[in-house]
Amino acid sequence: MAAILIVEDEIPIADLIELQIKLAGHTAEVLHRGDTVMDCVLGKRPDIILLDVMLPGRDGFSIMQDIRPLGIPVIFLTAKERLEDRVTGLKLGADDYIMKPFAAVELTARIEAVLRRCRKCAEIFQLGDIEVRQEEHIVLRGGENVELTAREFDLLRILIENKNLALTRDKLLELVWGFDYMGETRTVDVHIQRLRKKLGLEENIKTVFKYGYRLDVPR
Amino acid sequence: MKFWQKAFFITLILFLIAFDSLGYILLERSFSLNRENAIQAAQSEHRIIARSVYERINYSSGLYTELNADNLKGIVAPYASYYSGQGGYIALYQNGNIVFNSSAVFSPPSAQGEEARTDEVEDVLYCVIGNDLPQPLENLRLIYMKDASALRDFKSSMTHSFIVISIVISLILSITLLFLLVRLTGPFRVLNAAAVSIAQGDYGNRAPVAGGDEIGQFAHSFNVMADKVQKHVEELSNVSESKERFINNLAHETRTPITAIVGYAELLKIGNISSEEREKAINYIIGQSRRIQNMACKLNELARMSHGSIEKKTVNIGKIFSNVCATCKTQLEEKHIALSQEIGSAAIMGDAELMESLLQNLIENAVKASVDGGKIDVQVYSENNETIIAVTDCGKGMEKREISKITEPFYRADKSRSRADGGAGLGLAICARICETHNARLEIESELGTGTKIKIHFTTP
Repeated sequence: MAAILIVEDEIPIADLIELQIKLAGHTAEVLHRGDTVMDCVLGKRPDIILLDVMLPGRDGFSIMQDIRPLGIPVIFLTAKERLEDRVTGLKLGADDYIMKPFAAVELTARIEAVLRRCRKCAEIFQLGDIEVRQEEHIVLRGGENVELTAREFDLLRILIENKNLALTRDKLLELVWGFDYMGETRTVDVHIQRLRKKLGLEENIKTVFKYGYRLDVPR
Repeated sequence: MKFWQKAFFITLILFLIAFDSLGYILLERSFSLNRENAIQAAQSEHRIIARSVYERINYSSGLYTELNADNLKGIVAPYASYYSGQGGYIALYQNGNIVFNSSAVFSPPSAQGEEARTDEVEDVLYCVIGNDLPQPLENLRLIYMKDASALRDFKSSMTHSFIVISIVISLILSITLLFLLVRLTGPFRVLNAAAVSIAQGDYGNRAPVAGGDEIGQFAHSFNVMADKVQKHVEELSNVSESKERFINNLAHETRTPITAIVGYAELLKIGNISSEEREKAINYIIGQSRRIQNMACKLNELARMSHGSIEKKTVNIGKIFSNVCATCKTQLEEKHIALSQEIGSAAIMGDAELMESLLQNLIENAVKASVDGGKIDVQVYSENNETIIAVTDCGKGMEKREISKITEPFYRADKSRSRADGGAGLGLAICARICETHNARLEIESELGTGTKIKIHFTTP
């Protein structure tokens, strides 16, 4: 869970990103103008800033120069395909950039990656009586250790990372087993069944019809 | 070979041929005149000698019975010794046989009668005069040979001076010619430099125009051509720039709604979202789709005007205005805007549908610019043979520098605001196009904070 500041002038897009971020379990603050960003950053100290480049009031690159000394990670949201803009953003000290249009899963993955890189302490995920300690590779159910295979743990980790977003079986195969795994999507179903049983998550790990699986987490 | 080099060599060669042949002819002519003079002088000397010899022989023929060779020698010898001092030599023939000769070298005479010629003997030129003595001494023939070396010396000295003069004149001519040719062809080099720099892309360069001669005229025509080329190139680059901007803008304008539509649709499919969020997503999808649809319609309208020609009929503006009012009624009521009008029964020549679109766009723009409870004023009046439609709002206006760009597709004076209002940024671009097809003039007056007045001047009644 992180506090994220979204700076985007297009209201529909800003709302979309806010929704995606809330689904991922973070809190979001939205700004539509460039000139009010620094006040908000200094006042609220967000964990991550998602910053558009073309903004009314003040452009993203110039804001970046003020943010950099504060050490808050920044991901640029850019509509420009031009390489030089991306390079400029990264040179100014941005942690990543993401091009519009983007998929929800991609945005979440980038935010998680930046958070992982910048966070020192281990992330602990809790859902009901389940506690997942990612660093230590331990899953507790009601305080008792649950034995999971390495694949099962990876699958659980991916589901947690994309909580509230459905992933296709193919995507799960790719993320958990790797690109070159030649197995069938049936393997995913088997592992999901085992996870549900071992952790008692039959309700939370949802089957999305004709699509894949989703870990639902109350917000 | 360059032009000035060609001109230089051709002129020089022609001059040398003409000058040298003239010199040759003059030399030859003066030589032959001198020769005739020399021969005449020798002839008169010959006549004097001949008469004198004749008289002596006639006189002495009384003393001597026979005219033998010794006698004749005795008579002629004094003359010979006298004339040899002056370069003259005498020979006497009797019946074709030589009886006396004062010269070691001697040109043999022709057979009979009077003879006068020049002859070269052992590299020395002589005038040779020969004649028979008068009767009864016609069997005696006197030959007089006069040294004419002076004639030759004169000729060779003349030739020598002529060659020297010819070389000096050629040199002077060459230098003058070179100077003149370089001067005369200078403007061509300047023109060429200008042409080369234009060819390299410096379309603003011009050739300096000097004088009213052919080169000056050429330079003038060249500059006129360069002006035209520059204008065309600028037009082309403007067109391609505005096309590129149009495409960039179109890409930018469509990306936002598409990103929103795709993003919300994706969340609807895979996200664990609440029913309110679902409602919001669906509303955004519908709203953004409408935005694209609206943009497509307006673009279509723009494209239609660029291609098709319009059919002009008499259009009653009052009637069109009431149609537009009906269409814009909800927008006006939403913002509580009062619309006042002074139209009367003005009519113009034009396409009714396009006129409606024009008025509607103008009023929609005015509504978007106005604040809640604002006022919009529409006037139609005649001035200087022009029918003028003026739409005035008391809205937020815009800066002076924005006015020139405002008719460009997708340009917005206030970016965030008009997009939120659902505008495509094409309204004024369409108005400008409609004015263009009607040969009307679009005039925008605006002041930031006080409002905007858009006037359209229709030149045709």
